[in-house]
Amino acid sequence: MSSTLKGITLKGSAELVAEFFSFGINSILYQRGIYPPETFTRVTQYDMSLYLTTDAKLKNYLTNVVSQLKEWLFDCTVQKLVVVITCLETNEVLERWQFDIECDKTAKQSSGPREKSIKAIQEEIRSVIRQITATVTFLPLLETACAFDLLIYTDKDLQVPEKWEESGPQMIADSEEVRLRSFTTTIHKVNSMVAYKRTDSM
Amino acid sequence: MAEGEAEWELCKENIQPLRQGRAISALHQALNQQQEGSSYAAIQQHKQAFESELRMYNGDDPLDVWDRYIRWTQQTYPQGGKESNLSVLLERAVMRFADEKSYYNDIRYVNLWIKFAENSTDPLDFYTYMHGQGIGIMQAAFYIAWSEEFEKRGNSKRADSIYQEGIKCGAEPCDKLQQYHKSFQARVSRQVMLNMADGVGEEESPEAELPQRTSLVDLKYRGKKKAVVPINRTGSSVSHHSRGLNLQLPATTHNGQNSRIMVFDENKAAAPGPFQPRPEQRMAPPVSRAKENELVPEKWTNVKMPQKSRYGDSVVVPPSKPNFQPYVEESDQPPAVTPCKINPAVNTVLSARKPSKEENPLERLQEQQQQQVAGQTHEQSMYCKELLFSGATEFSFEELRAERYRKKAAQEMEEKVTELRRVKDELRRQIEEKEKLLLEKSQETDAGHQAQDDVAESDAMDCLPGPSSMAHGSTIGFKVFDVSGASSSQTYPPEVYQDITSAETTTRLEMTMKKGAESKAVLSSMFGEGVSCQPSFEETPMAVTKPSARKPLCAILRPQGDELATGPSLQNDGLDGIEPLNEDAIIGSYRNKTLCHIPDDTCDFARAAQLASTPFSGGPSHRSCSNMESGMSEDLCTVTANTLKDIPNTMCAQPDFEAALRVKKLSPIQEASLEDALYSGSSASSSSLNGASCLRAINLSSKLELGHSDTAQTHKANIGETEMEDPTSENVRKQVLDKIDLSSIPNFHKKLGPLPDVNEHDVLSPGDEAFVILSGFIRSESYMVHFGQTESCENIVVKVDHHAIPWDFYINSHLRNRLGSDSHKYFSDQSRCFLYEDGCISLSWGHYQGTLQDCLVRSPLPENVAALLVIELLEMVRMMHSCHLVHGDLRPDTLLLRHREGCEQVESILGIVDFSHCLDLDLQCEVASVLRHPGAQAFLKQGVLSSSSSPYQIDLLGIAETAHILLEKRSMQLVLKDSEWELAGVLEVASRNHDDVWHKFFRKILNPGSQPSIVVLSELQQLMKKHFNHSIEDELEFIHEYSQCL
Repeated sequence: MSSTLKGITLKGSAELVAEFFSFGINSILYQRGIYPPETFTRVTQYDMSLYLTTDAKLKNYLTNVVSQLKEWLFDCTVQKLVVVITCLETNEVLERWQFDIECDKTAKQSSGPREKSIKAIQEEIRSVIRQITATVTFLPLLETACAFDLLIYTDKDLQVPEKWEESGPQMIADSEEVRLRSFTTTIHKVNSMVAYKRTDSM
Repeated sequence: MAEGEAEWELCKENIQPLRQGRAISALHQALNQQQEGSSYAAIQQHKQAFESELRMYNGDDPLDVWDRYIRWTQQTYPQGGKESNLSVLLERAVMRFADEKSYYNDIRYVNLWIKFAENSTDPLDFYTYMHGQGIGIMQAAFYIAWSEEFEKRGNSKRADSIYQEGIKCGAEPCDKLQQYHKSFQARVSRQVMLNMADGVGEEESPEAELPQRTSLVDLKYRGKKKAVVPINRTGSSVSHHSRGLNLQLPATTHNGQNSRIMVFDENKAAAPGPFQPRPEQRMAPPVSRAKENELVPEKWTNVKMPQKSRYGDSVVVPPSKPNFQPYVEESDQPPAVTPCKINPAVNTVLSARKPSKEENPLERLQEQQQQQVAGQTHEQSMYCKELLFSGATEFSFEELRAERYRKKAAQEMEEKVTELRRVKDELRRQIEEKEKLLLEKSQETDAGHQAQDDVAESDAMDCLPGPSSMAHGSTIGFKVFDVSGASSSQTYPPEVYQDITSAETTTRLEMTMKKGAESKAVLSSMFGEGVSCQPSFEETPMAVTKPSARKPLCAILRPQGDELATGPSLQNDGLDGIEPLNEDAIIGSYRNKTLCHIPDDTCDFARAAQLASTPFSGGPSHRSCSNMESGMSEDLCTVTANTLKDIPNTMCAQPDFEAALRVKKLSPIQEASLEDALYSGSSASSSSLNGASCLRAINLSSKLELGHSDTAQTHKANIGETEMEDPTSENVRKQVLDKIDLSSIPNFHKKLGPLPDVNEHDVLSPGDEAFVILSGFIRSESYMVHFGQTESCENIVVKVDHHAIPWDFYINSHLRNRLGSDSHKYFSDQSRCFLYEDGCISLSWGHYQGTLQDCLVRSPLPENVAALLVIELLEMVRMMHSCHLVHGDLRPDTLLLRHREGCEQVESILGIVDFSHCLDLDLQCEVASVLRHPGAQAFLKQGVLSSSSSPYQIDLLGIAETAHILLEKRSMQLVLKDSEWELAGVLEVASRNHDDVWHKFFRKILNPGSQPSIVVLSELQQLMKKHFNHSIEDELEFIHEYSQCL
């Protein structure tokens, strides 16, 4: 993708958003210490340093999910992506990163590119990822070993692909919710939000 | 939460991460406060509240307050720092409970210690100390924190041994500790593995391969016009040509946590034996490492002054004074010596900051403990030092006192409220009692004038509570007013007083009350003044100079009071009041000197007024109250007087009473003039009391009197409303029906013109349909009930009411509304009403043979049939009660028997059409007792019903009465046996085997206790149904026979 491109198409938008999720999920996994920090490597993306996993299995898993997600983004059938962080032992949901995706389904018919520069979009994405990083200021420390799960909310009539299964929403009871920044490619709009278990201190 | 609320992101560097996370709302508040300062005061107040709670807490878990306080502080001050006072707080908290062994393994206390340690410069010292003291040795959190501290320093061997120690000690929760231990081991082994893979000989750790940023280096910038620094600030982007200081910075700074070298070094250095916690207490305090720019002590003996001279001479030039004046910024003034430590916005107490020597907190703690161990408490503070200094800030004595005062005040307020509630109930009860008495009295007078005197005498003797108890009750009554006056912040609903006085009087009373100051001492004097009403009014002036004259006066007054039942009690109240007053009068003599010093002072005016009305009602501090009291006593007097007067039938008593009133009304003037004379006579002794003030006193008293008579009149006007009314009376019903829109009910017709004359065999056609009036069966002074027939030969019941209130129609239609299809069983299914200007005609459809009474007169009633009728009656009343209707007049005269119409299925035999005494408790929710209901009066007199009985009980007694008449053909006579009401005689008709059932029936229905009537009724129904075969056919047969008799 060249940054000189002025407009944005559905395909490009889907790719951009999928890319964001790839980096976003990696960021969350690194920041929240789900995987040991040694297994991450630093890359430069969106004009900032980001961490990507070097764990082959995890990499593979994420690539699969993201490519599937890209398809759905292209079809405009995806509604939400949720990163659920659960306690490994008790299976209790501790954190829930929710990305609401609003698809402009009219983009499927009209194939003309939209007016928004990639630069502007990336600027927005950067601020979202920065905010994800900054959430350590208030998120509770994950003191136990944790696992993560990816949930994708799609339109109802969609066929469940192989290796995917249907799941519940895995909500946190009694949670604090903090809405984060959002970004839009004019075709896809992503609103992010993090929910975490309320502290009992106050 | 809006996206825009991202203050936290802007301030993320200034937010200390917390282990348990932060509540986002608290974070927002704290950050807003930083920016705007609007919630600053709120936070300070919250803090102050915690501070005072620390001191005032007297529960058994003082740690709780500290714990909450510290957690709150952490949440509220995300940036930490001095302002939060967190380290001081933690230190105080930790010190505070250092002696309480019970807290040593309390997770909260251990967490406080861990927080304290983490806040200090050398946490390891603290952990060692804690271990030595046995603090937290059973808590996994302690070992985890300790071990992590070692791990942070790269001493993984020690870190591991700490975990092992913890597991050995059986610290709880065990699995948590083990899990941490496991993940610790995993971290260590992973590092070892990586090192192995990279080759042990290699010094670089894998992390070091990654470029690391160096501090304080210049970055190469790109761009010619605008210098832009690169994103990657490592490696090639660092500019290596240094300017200025040439710092020898290490190429890579070791990240302590991941440093392999440190680990290995420590392992080599450390003795390979198992970890031995030092058993001895740390006697030497850990070195304070908090200071910066500290001079390291070194040898000075060999140090030579560097002597540099351009010219080579060795003369040391003494440093001369600089010949220039260093410029000092004006604003750069050194801070004041005694800065205001306590925030003046919250706390107005100033305190000078004491210069304190720098100490390590642990050092302080140890010192303190050593002192305690030695048992030498050199200093013993003779004030509550621990309270003043226990929190993070210092309190003053005044603050403590204020806090205690507030607490006490709050408690007193609460007590007062409960007391008030109790007293209110008492008062209401008494009022009811009195009203009941008055009612009885009125009935007695009804009975006959001749017997009146005797009856009144005996009534007063029997029913009045004893004079002393009465006086007591009244006192309580006055306390109520005083209290409500004193605590004027509370508003009491006017209903409280509505029983006694009209709403108007209530507001008057309350207004007077508000003037009253809070003074308990007043109570005693109020007792006298308030209660004594007018008699004491008259007497008290006399009592001053001639105390011996009191009793004769009382004796003279008594006959006047005797006219009325309550007379004696009032009299006694007066007497009771005098005793303490007299003492006051003696002490009160000094008061006369202080009075009227400045004739123009308006205060004197008020005092003089008091002098005129209630001269000896207490010390100077009570004056305003006394004024109020006198006003109150007047009010009360008139109210009582008017209540008494309002009894319609005490005509013979009234003139006398009124005369008495008149005499009393005049009396203050007489007394005042008498008083005047007396005072001028004794003016030699009370020199300051001059004639002018006495004159003023007289004027005032006459004014007072005028006001008094005014209020008396208003009361007379209002009294109709103030008194509790017969809930079945015309006025009440009119008011009730005003609330609802009758015209919305179908078949309600308003007619112009007067009520037509209705006689038997007349044909009436008020509406589009004409009907013929047949025989009348219920006659009363205000209404008549006839049978009738419409043009289409439908049977109806016509009620001609001379009051223009369509009550029966309303009840009928509501019964249908509320019961639905069930209403057909006993109540008419169709009704119509014609409302005239001076009366109304209600028609209700239904074919009846006549009243139950007629049936009883004509033929004997077998017991079985009677029982079945009773069952039906119970069912019918239960239905009415279930829709909150009370019939109020159940008699065989008002119960109708249905006509048997061919082979038509008849569900019931009884019917009821006359609701003259009916109460709708949904609409008349203020009717809480039977007191004024005409149907209850006979029972009230007997005592079967009390003034507090529920209105539903009227119907229960009505059923009992009807049942008795059905069985015995005479009214029941009741006797009280073992606090239960019973039939006086034995039932004659009842057969042997059912004797017991009837006995049970009557016992239950006469003594329902506090059970709801519906429950009682259904229980009775079950009882009856169990013993008597309920079959409508039996009844019908009987009724058939009966109708053939006709």
